[in-house]
Amino acid sequence: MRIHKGLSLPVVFLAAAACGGVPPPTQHMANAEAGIRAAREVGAQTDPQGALHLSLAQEEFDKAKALVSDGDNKHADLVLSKAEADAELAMAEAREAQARAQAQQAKDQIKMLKNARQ
Amino acid sequence: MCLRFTSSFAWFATPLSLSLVLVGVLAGCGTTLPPKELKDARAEYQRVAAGSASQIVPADVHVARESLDAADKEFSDSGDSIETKDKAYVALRKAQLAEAIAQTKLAEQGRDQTQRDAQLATVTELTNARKQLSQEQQHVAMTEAQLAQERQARIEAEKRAKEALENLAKMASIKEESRGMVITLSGAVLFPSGQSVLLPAAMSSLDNVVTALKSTPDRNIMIEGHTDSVGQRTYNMDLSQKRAQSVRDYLVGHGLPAEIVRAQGVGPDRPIADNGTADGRANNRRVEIVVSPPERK
Repeated sequence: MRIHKGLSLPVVFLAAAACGGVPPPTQHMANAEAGIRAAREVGAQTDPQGALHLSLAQEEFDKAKALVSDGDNKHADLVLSKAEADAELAMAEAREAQARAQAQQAKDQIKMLKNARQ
Repeated sequence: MCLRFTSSFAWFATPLSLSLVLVGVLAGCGTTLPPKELKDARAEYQRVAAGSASQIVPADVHVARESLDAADKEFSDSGDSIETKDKAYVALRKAQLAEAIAQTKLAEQGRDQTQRDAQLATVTELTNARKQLSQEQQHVAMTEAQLAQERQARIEAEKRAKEALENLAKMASIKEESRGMVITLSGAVLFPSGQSVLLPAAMSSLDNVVTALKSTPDRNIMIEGHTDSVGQRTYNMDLSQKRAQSVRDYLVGHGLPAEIVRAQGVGPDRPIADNGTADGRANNRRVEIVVSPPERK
């Protein structure tokens, strides 16, 4: 495959960066882990959607750890973004489920009150 | 990397591939087909931005937009790469996040509104219950006032009866005997001699009798006419019966219930004084009103 000469340098640089020029994403890992924990504490695993995204977040987090120990910090960083996004969504879904349940509860209560009056 | 693709296309010098190359170069040297992850992310963003999330959580929708833009930029920089796919994945999640937050806020608003409605309903119910209670209290007060009025009326009636009896005692003798209370009225006060039509002066005595006995409707009243022993017995029986009847008619006509008042002529048969003296005979010429408890059946 013929590569234009003018573009060989950036290719080399990129190749070099992929092989360990990026530091391990320790802060990003800590943030992602905290996000997963927070989602668990809110009870994401009790909601079907929340449980799904929580387990995805955990998978991605574990994959990121493996990538870091393999030295692929750049890819690990990207995977951690996915883990964070999934954990955040899991927490939001847990909150949504709770808010819906409370709204339904309020409706049921008012119904009960109406029935009791008659 | 995008260079790889253009160079491989360059091998095929057909018009179609040349135009593809051109399009590829113009598009920033990526393949024209975005990965599924990016298509999904774009579709989800469109859906969410077109919905209520834009009004409810515009900031979160904006964050989703930025995330999608980053994924699009990555796609134009590096085409169908892992970086593009991962950034598209994150963009998809950001759009879903905005929707979840919007739905949460909607549910909370709904819950708050329902609670406000319930409160309002409870307050209304409470107000109505208070109104009803107040009405019933007024009703009770009215009934109590009525009862008090009736009690007062009864007390006054009894007072009048007592006064009447006291007045009566001035013009009649009142005794308690085993047959009941006996009011004895002199014949001379009630009737002209030998007649059974009441004297006008008799009315005041009999009015007192009516007042005194009105407040005791449970008792039986027997009016007995008595004469002295002078004259024929049949005449005296007849006169005493007629006189007793006259008194009865007056009492019933002035308010005593007919069913409790009876009249009977006794004639000379039960004297209370010595018929041998003028005073004794005068005392024997009398009407007795006997007020007794109801007969036990």
